[in-house]
Parts: sequence; C-alpha cells; structure tokens
Amino acid sequence: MNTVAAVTTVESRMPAGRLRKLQTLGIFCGVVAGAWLGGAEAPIKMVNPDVSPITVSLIMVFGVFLARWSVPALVRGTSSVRYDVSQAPHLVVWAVLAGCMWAAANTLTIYAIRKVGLSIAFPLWNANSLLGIFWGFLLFNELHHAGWKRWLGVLGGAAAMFAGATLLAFASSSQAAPGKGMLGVTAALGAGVLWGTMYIPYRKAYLTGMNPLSFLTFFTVGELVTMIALAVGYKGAAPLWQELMSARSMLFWLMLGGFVWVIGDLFQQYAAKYVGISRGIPLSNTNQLWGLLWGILVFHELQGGNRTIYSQVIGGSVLMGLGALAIALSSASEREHSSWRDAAEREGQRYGVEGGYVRAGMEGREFEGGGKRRTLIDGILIAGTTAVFVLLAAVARVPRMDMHLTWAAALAAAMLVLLVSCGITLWRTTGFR
Amino acid sequence: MSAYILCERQSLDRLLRNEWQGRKRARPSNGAAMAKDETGSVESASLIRIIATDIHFWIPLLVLVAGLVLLHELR
Repeated sequence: MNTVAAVTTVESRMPAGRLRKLQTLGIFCGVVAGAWLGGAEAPIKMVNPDVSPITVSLIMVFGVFLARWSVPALVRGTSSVRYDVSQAPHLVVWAVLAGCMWAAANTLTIYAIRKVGLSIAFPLWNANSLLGIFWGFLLFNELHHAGWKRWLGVLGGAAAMFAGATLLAFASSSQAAPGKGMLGVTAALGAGVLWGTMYIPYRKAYLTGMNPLSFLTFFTVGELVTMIALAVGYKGAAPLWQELMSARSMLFWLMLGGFVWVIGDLFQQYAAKYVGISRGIPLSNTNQLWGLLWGILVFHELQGGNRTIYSQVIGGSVLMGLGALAIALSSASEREHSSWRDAAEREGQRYGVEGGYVRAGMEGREFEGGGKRRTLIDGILIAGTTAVFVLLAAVARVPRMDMHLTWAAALAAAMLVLLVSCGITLWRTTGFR
Repeated sequence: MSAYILCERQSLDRLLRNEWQGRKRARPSNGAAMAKDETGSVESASLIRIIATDIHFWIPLLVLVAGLVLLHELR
C-alpha cells in the first residue's frame, strides 16, 4: 500500500485575547466539575449497605454509560463523534483504556466510602491531582517556561493539598471501625493513583484536538466492559443477577449518581482541555468540598465526633481547597502555552493527525468539515435513556434515612445554576468544541 | 520506575528536538509518524505499532493492572 506521511504543524500562535478567554472558561469548567462530581456521591449514600460495592459500581456504570452516549447525542449529535474518530482513530484505544481505569477506581472509592466515610475518603482519592501535575509536567510540557511564580503557586498548592490529605488520613483512624481504617485509606489512595494516571489519556486526546464529548463515548465502553468483567468474575453471573433484581428499588438512585457524575466529568474534561491537567484537575477536585457539604449538611456525617476530629477534617479540607485555588490561579503564560503546542505537534506527528484539526481543537473552534448533523440515532439514544430513567424512577423507593431535605434542595439548586451558566458560556465560546 | 521514566523523558525530548529540527528543514515527517494510505485512512498495523511503542500507553496500563490487583485484595 502506498503511504503518504502526514504533515502536521500547530506552530501558529493563538491570539492573546482568545487564550485568556479559553483559560477563564477552563477555570469555570473546573469549578462546575467540582460541584457536580461532589454531588454525584450523594445518591450512593441512599443505598442499602447490604448491596456489595461491585454491584453498586456496576449499576452506577450503567447510568454512566447511558449518560455518556445520550449527552453527546443531545449536545452535538453522533455524527460529530464519527467525524472526530475519523480524524484521530488511535484515541479510541486511549479512551477505552482510560475508561477501564475509571471503573476500577470507582469501585475502589465505594470500598473506601464504606470503610472510612465520604468526608474522609473524598480528599484522599483527590490526591490524584498531585499525580496529574506530575504527569502533565513530565509528559505534556505543562509548566515548562512557566516562571517561578507559577511554579510556586502549583508546588505550594500541591504541598498544601498533601498536608490536607495527611490530616484527613489521621482523622480516618478514629472514625472507622477497628482494622477497617487502613483498608479504606488504601482503597481511597489506590483510586487516586488510578484517576491521577487516567489523565494521561485525557491530555493526549485533548492535545490532539479531540472533542471531550467524542472521547467520552468510547471511554464509557471501557468502563462498562471492565465493570461487567469485575462483577461477573467476582460474584458469578447468577448471584449477580439475583442481587441486581433484589436491589431494583435502588437502581434509580445509583444510575442517577452515575448520570450526575458524567455531567461533572464532562466539565472536568473541558477544564483539562483548556487549562491542562496540572490546573484543571486540582480545580475539579474542589468536589471534595462539595462532598463535605453533602456529607455534613445533608447526611449528618461526623455527628458525635470529638473536637479534634472536626478540626482535623475541616482544617484538612480547607487546606486542600486553598492548595487547589493556588494551583488554579497560576494560569498558563503565552510561553508555557507554546510548550503545549510543541507537545501537541509531537502527538500530531506521531499519530499522523492533520495540523489544522489539532490547532482548531486547541483554539476551541470548529474544524472544516466537522459537521453537527442530527440523525435518527441521536433521537433514539435520547429517548431510550429517558425511558430507562423514567421506568427505574417508577419502581424506585426513597430509603428511610435521616436526611436534611432543605439543604439537599439548596445544594442541588446551586449545582443547577452552575451547570446552566457554564453550559451557556461554553456554547458561546466554543460551541462545545 | 523513576529511572525508567527519566530515560523515556530523555527520549521524548530527543523526539521533540528531532521533530522541531525536521520542521525547520521542511521535511514532511519523521519515521515515527503514522502512515496513511492515499485516501487518508490509517493502516491498522501502523496504528498498533505506534501505540505499542508509546510509553504513554504503558504507564496507565501498568497502573490499571495494579489497581485490579488491589481490588482483588480488598474483595
């Protein structure tokens, strides 16, 4: 077969105004991601603890799968997904790999929540942002030519986050049942490492110009396959089916948790795209603060603890939040952004992706021929997903538990306001590109 | 592991330098570039080869395996 070498250049500079606009948008996306990722853990708390973590994770991933196919169909149409894949087919492999990692990490978080509680487990697995910074610097030229102030912001923020996580780990030993604290901490940290490394495929995809909506549709195939394999392998097909049937009144809550997670994850992907993983991930990890709010205000977690535990948890969380803020405020300079372009060019050349496509992706604009034509498949996906959720809601049962509904409504309203305002900004600035 | 990453980092830097110099000399591509046929579609053999020689692929894969082992221990 005759071959022609791909020519890729992404050397032309982005106008400074456009760069600033995209950076601000990326930061906004990171904040919204934090709110929705944090809120996604709340429905899990409504589930009977007798259901095994593997089954809980599997059901969540079913919800995630439905969301990750229906949301892109709703926003841009599946034809744009096909177009993206034709431009960078190798990213399908990366997306599936990342999805496998997500599924394993998500299962670990459920073990962690069960053993040490939401408000403790959250900040521990959110240490993934430290790993994100490391991989971003090492593999994708992030923070290169960044200047000492930005380095100080990122490293100082990382140190504060680490100190916060340590403080919370100490608190966990007094919160959990004897012998379970260490297991819960290990599960939470394991999830953090998996998620931190999962950002390698993310960054690779977005440097190459792929749309986050397209990446997620293949990402979720890896998630679902891994979770089915884990669940069937660990429990056996027949016992798993029996457990799913006996938990049918809880399916809605778990799949809702998966759906909410996808919304948060989508904004996290846009943050990773426009401000890089070294800034976008710490920002979206403010979900730890939202998780703390849900845990304490709605589910009455940490009630009956002594003053030391409260001060450790709150102090640790504040420290982590401040660290994330310092990192987020150290936005990329023009010189650093030029290093990103070098990394993008390297990826483009390696995988033979057209330079114009890579450049358009980095600048958040449409590439020629990247149509958004709606098809019948889009309608079927959206209608099918809606029908599944309506059916599950019809058989769902609200569990009897001590919840503060006013706080739950207030937090949900805040999440919706953030979603609508950021969605509109994202649409106006990039057309969800 | 850290030494391995360092070596890989150096090789990436070399690759980047080569690509930069290659671009300045207006060469169309280096040897690592993905081959495409006349219609622009990617050869699948080439795709697999390029991915298999990309360290970015092996790091997440190893972490995934470790995560699955941890899950097995926690079960």
